[in-house]
Amino acid sequence: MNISGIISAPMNIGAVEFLSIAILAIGIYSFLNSRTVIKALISIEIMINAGLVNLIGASSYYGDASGANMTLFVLVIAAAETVVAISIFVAVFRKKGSAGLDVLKLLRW
Amino acid sequence: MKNKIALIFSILLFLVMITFVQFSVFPNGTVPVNTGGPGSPGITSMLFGTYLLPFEIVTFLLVAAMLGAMYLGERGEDR
Repeated sequence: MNISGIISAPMNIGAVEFLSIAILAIGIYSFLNSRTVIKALISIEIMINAGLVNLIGASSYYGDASGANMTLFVLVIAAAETVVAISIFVAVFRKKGSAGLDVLKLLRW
Repeated sequence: MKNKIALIFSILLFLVMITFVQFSVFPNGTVPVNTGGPGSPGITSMLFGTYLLPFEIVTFLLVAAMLGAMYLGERGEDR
């Protein structure tokens, strides 16, 4: 079986949506369970990736590559956001000596 | 307790979202993204053609994020 036969096999959008929803639920569960910052950030990344799976599926469903392009931009922006979050938490860790999620109360002022 | 609440909430949300899933086969097959299909060019020609300006803006965003991380992460005397 060559590669074009695999690509042109009929595919269901419901499978993509199911995968996306499952990953999103896993991310939400992990985020609600997270007590450390790194785990919360990883959970946020998982949720973003769930949305991106759905976006790529819809993009391929409509035969338009704009969604796949937008996926690249969203990945880059999520990476930048993670960088900023980790930097903020490193600064908070230097100031407070610990960096749990409860230290975020510092950001009220 | 928190574990159980999170589990129940995520399962409930999963069950709510799973009701909106629509099953339909892709109308024109799975379009290969790299070479493009009949209706749209490939991802690369689109990235460097239609979305050239957002691509450039993203480079500035990456530089800004890198500089911000370096500024926030440096070991200053005044903080």
